[in-house]
Amino acid sequence: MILAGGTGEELSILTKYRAKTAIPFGGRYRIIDFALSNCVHSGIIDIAVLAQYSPKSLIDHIGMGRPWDLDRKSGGVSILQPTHHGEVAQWYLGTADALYQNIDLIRNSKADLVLVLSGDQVYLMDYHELVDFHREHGRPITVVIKAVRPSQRSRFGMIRCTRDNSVIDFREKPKSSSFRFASLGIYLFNRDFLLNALRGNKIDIVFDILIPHLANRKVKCYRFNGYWEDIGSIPSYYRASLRLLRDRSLITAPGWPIFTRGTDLPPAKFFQGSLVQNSIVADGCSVKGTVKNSVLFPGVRVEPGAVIEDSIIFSYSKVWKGTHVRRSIIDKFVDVGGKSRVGVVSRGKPEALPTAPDTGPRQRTSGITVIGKNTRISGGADIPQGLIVETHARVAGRKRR
Amino acid sequence: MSKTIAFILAGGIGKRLSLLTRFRAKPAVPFAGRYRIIDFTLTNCVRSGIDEVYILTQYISRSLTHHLGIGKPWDLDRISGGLHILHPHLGYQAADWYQGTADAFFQNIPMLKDLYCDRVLILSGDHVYRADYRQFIDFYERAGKPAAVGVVEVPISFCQEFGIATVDGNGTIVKFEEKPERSTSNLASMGIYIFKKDFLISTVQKLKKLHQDLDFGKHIIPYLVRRGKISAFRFKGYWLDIGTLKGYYKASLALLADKPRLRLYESVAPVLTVPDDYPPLVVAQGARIQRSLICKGCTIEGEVSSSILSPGVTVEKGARVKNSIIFHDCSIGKDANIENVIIDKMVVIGRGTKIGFGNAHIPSRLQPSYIDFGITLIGRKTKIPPGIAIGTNCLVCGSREGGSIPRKNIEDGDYYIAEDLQS
Repeated sequence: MILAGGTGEELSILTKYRAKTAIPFGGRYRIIDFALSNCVHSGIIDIAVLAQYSPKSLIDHIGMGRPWDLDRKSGGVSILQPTHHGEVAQWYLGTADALYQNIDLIRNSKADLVLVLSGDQVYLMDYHELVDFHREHGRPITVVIKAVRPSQRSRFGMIRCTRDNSVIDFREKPKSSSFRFASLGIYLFNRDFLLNALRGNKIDIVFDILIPHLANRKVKCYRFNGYWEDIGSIPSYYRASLRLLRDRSLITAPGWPIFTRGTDLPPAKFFQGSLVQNSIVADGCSVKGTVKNSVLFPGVRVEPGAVIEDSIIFSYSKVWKGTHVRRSIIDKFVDVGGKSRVGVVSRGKPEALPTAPDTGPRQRTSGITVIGKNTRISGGADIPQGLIVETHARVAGRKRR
Repeated sequence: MSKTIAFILAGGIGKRLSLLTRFRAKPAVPFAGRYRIIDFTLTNCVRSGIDEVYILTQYISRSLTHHLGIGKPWDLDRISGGLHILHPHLGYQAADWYQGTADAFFQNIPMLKDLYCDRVLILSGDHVYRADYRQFIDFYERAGKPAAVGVVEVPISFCQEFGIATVDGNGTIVKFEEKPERSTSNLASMGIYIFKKDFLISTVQKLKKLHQDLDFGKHIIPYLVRRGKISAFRFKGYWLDIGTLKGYYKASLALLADKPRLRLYESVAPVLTVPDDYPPLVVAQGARIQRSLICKGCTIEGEVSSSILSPGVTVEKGARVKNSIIFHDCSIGKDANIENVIIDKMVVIGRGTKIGFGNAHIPSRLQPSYIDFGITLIGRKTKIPPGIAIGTNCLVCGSREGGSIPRKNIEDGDYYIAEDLQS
């Protein structure tokens, strides 16, 4: 069961028209590809994706599940959105409620274990090992944990465990914590136990199922040591994306390809005079200018004299002549007019720009500039660092010599 | 209702492509990095609303049938219509290899009779072009003859490579010359035809009695021209018949122009092909890329100019690749220097090797008529040991299992072909 219903508020306009799990990542993937590919590589071929926020892009992406060979007669992938059940009709109120609303599916399954994943994380994990651990320890719940630095602990559910891997304390997003291990939101349940535990208005997996069962030592923890990132905010998305330029193992692990929906675009074309350094360039890109330390998704156009540095540019956006883009995330179908500057200057006149309602103090985005989907920026415009520009907006430019 | 069904002839041996067709049918030869030649014709079909396509194969069809699968990439995995592959087969009537392009139809006449359609569009799996066949069909309907052939203008000096048609004011062909020394017309047959189905069957049956190796260009078209039953549709776009290795090489590198004649980028409707799971292209710090097409799965640390790289190619630090075409999953070792080379799939080039430099006037000793224009060809899965030099107009192929070639320089025009591949 892959939980994919989160609203992703901290991702601002990147999730205005798409589910968080459908955010493009790494030049050709969507975030949910990692959970789906991990499942398939681990032999799990009976998958439900629980969606509710802006699911269209997610549904388009997953389709019948063919890219993951999940278009199967038995098993496969289904996308479950909240529906009317006779007298009950409500949104998924929380993680446990989403499972409860689909309890028939769990009950009718022949599986004896239920793996609950989060669709907004990037990592490579062989769930076989988790299943082996779970069976070996013979407890009804196993949570996956990872050691995190003290400065990061306020973002996570922090866990205290004994030497024999029993979880004895759990604090959700504590201000500070002496516990070393964070729960990664990856749970393995005995099916019959879960069916019982979901009864009676359970909303949240952590508060309503996990914590109540700590006292009788029903929860074990399985330690994961690999790279794992939760794509929860613009800085974490940006960090995880640019990290791929230093360490590509996430997308190049032998025998563990990340499956995704392909495009039919031609190869990337590099023209005379282009300069590309330390970057990911997807199919269909056409590069005449300079690209450094950046990720270009399919079909991006970089015109002569344009310079793109430390940036992530989604599919089919165009950067025209002489434009400079730095430390920015540019969503799909954006047109950045010639001689503009995006994320270059630290000060400007933000009140004149169509900024997103949640564009806040600079530290919110750590100075990363974000341009919303389908926005057109006229030539010579100046978009200062850390600003979030609306989707479908028009930004006036000015003549620049 | 009038319906058109397409047949794609994909059985040719393609000998003139040398080692590239040693392991695969010509329609399955990679082109423009990620495509196979047949993708262009299949894409044209589906973009023209033709959803029932039969592919006639015969020569090493494994890689072709693997590529085609059930036709999913072209949305041809359909319940009605869809993609069908017709191999030569034993049967009550037919029981032989296809002995000519039209003989392939003769052998499938029982099936052809059962097909529900009015028109049969006959295409070739060896062509690279983008066309809307609806224009061809409209022309055919207006012209009112039972058959039509697509023709394209070629420079007069190329006439001797094609079948040349002379047409009257109504578009009816009045003269058809196969590879004439000189001609007053410059309309070359593209080898694509439309026939009324019943007319095709009766013509093929009639002429099969006269010619065992029944061929469209050689027998059927001249026969129809004599009877005034075929008109010529002038195709105005870019069209290429992948015939020779030289033609393949030149057409490939022509894609690197700022505005090539074959439209791959500008078009809103991309050429359709089989998807793959390579990660995106990675360009490392210190890499240099100029005028090149580079696919996903490649990692570039060295220098690439005026080249086409299929998916999964690695170019290591200090390596230099110029004017070359490299197929899937090859690796070019450190400081290797490669110029004017075509490298087939899964080749490993050792570090410090130097390939493709030499006197282009010395033709290949093995295939002087195909390899005489200053390129070297390296066959599939060959391992080139480090440090050696291979000249130009060379042919190099390690054993079928991917063996290394001897650690010995290869002179201009010379060759090394592993024993198990010699024939």
